[in-house]
Amino acid sequence: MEDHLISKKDLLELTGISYGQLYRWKRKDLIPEDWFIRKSTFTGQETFFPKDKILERIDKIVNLKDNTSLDDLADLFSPSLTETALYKKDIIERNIVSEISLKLLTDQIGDWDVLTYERLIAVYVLDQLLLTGEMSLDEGKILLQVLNDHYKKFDGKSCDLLFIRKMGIATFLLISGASEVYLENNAKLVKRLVISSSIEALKTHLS
Amino acid sequence: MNTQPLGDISISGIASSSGGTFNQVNIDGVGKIRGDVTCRQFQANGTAKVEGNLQADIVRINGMSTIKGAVRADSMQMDGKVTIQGPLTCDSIHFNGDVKIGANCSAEQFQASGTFVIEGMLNAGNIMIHIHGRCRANEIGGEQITVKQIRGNLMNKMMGALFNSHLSAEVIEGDHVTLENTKAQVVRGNQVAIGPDCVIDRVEYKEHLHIHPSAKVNHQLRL
Repeated sequence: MEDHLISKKDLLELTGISYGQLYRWKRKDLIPEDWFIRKSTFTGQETFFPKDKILERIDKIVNLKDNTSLDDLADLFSPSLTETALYKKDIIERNIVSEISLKLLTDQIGDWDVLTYERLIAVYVLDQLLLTGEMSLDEGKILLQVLNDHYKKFDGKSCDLLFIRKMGIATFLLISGASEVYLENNAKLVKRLVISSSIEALKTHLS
Repeated sequence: MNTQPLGDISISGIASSSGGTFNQVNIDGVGKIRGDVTCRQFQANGTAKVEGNLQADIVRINGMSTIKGAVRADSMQMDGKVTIQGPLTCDSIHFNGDVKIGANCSAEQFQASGTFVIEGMLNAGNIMIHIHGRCRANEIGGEQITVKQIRGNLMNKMMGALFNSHLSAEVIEGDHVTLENTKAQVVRGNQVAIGPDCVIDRVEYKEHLHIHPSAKVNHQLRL
């Protein structure tokens, strides 16, 4: 567990940012509240962060902040869905997801012209997983079903997608972000995907 | 944008109203708003109660006010006794008096004179606190943090002794931290000045540390 966390002191040392900057970014919602893990140590209360996530995020903020306002950055990182919809031809033209993924969606929801942002994320996640080669098309259908039915319930909060396979049978779980999961021995966690980073990638793709 | 002109609420005397979206909300006397309010300007003189969230460009409170939900505003000026049960998010907060916030408080400018209790974290770019009594926050963080004890006439001193006037916090972290009459577990910063009557268990600093002779610091560490 200790390997995955970094203390605030070490983080500031490593990245060269100041307390003030860190607090300002937190105020602007660039760093989500649930990344701040407070613990008592022998040197008094300390704050820890999930190491990989925070380093990646700070790297992005530092690189982007000169050209982008902090408010725009907050939109980029926010896991909530913006009210956008995309036309079918735009999605194909801009090559956001592969045609196979689109076809899978059409099979499931019938013919469509406009894709809501919510659906778009579902297809995007599907596409990402298909591209890894770890998921079959049939399993993709289950994934779409899960995302369509349940993703809304997280209501903008960060969540992770778990892809689990046991003896050839696949299943998907959506769990709230950063929680720990333990599986029985026979089951295999094929993939854990942080949905918010997929959304981030999608938003960069769109803008 | 909304093209329809927004209405106002004006209460003089004792009355209550339902929530909604308004241009101006003025309360003189005793007023209650049952629900969430969104408005450009919220002004309360006397006793006001909002039984929901308050969102406004400008909030001006004189007297006693209670807000049950969260407050989001651009600028806030409070004189008197104010209780906010939810989180407070505001660009610039300025108050004289006694303020209680039941959750986190974040602002770019935070100027306080009087007493306060913040159950969560106080996160502001520029924090200026003049202590007149007991002040407490769980955690304080920002760029510039200055805490001053009000001195002066005999009356102030007596009141201070009577109410055991000081600021207490578990953690105080900032780039420039200047404290007086503060009790804290940990203070971390680049440039730290621990002034008179402070009791700090542990100070961690990067560039500069100054400790007043009457302050008590158990451990100090240069990073």
